[in-house]
Amino acid sequence: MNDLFINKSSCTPELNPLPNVRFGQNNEMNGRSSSIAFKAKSKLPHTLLKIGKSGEGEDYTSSVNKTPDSKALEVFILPSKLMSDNFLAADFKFGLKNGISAGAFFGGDVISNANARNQAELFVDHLMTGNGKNWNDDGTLSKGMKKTPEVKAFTKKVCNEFKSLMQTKFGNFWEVQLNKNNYSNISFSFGSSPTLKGLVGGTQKTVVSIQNIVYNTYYRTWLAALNLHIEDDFGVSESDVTSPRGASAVVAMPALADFWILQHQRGKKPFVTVFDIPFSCYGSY
Amino acid sequence: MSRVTSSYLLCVILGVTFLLSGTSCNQTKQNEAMKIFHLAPNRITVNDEAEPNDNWFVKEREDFFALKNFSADSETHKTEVDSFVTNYIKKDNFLSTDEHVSWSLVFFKYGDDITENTEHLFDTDYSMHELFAFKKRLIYYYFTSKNGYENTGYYLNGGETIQEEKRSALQK
Repeated sequence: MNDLFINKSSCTPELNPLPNVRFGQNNEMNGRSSSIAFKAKSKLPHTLLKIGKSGEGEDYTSSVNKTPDSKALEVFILPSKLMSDNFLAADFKFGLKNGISAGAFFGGDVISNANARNQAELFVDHLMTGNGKNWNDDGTLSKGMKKTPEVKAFTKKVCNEFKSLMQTKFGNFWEVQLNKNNYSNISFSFGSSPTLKGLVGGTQKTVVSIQNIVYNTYYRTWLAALNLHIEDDFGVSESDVTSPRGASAVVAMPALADFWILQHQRGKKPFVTVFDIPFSCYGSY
Repeated sequence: MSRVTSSYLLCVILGVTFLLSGTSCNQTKQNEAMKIFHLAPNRITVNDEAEPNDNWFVKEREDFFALKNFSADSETHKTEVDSFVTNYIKKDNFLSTDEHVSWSLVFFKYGDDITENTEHLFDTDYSMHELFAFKKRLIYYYFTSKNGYENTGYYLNGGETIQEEKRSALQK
């Protein structure tokens, strides 16, 4: 279904699906169709929902020789003082990859183990050399995200509210905005995907937009191509290391400590990871 | 009295006692004083990276509160919060600072690391998904510069269900 929307320009004429048929004495239906088509062209893409903000907060700061606030972390990282950046990066990769593989072995994963280990390598390499530049996912992780219960539940909720509001607004999608208080940024659990839990975890910004929409004015139905845009900070705050919740988080502590040292004591810059997940909705108006 | 009748009577007595104790517990809970604590600072997000066609709010404000001893079943509690919100928004003209802004007042369940001294920081994985997790939300009040008061939502079952209402006290 998504292939229908790859090329926006090829879809736009579909907004007026019955151009040669006259409805009513003055061809009112055709007029209505042309009106929607005209407006749709100028209003796309349309933002339905925006929550959170990425690239801010303690987990997005970087420094050299920062002293931890908590005594526990200070003691925990004491042996790492003499380790080189490259050694810490290798240890971080080791912890990350093994954590992901172990989780996938016991609970399964929506992302293949080879891809997961490769992505973990790339993320740490980007931390070491990327100088804070955004990381745009090539589809490897976002395809996996689409299969998780978290993303499925989120897109289902969006579709239900969008469908209902499209009826209230008589199909004028540009008047529709979802209530952000009904949604939260997606947080991937270890159970749904160890890879996504390890590399992304709780996300920080979500934008849902309509990329394209086609109407059937005769049956008064619509079909929309939407995009779920997710952003996350690949960075760590002290509370992420010292306040782990759940067994998986406790196991991840040594890897997170390596990450904290690299970011807050060795000046490595955190970065924003960007994911785009297309999905579709349909309804009547 | 036959054994069946006496067993039946015992069941009735136990049932009534159980129901009464349930009601009295509920009353005790509802009678406990409800308290509201504002968690500073308020969060204002400026959407300065808007794309050309982006019609989203220019500015969004979120004020967080901790709510102690609130029961979603108590209309008295709901009315008390309505009254608090009505007075709170009167003191600020945020909605008139721009043509396209939104303002949300979000109430969290007191406890589990949320107290009157908890800072409203909402920008790390921990603060967004653990400390102020969605499942800890109790109520929101939503306002926009376009329509003023939009609606109120009561988060039930840890946010799995959201009961949306237009509170009459806020529509005046």
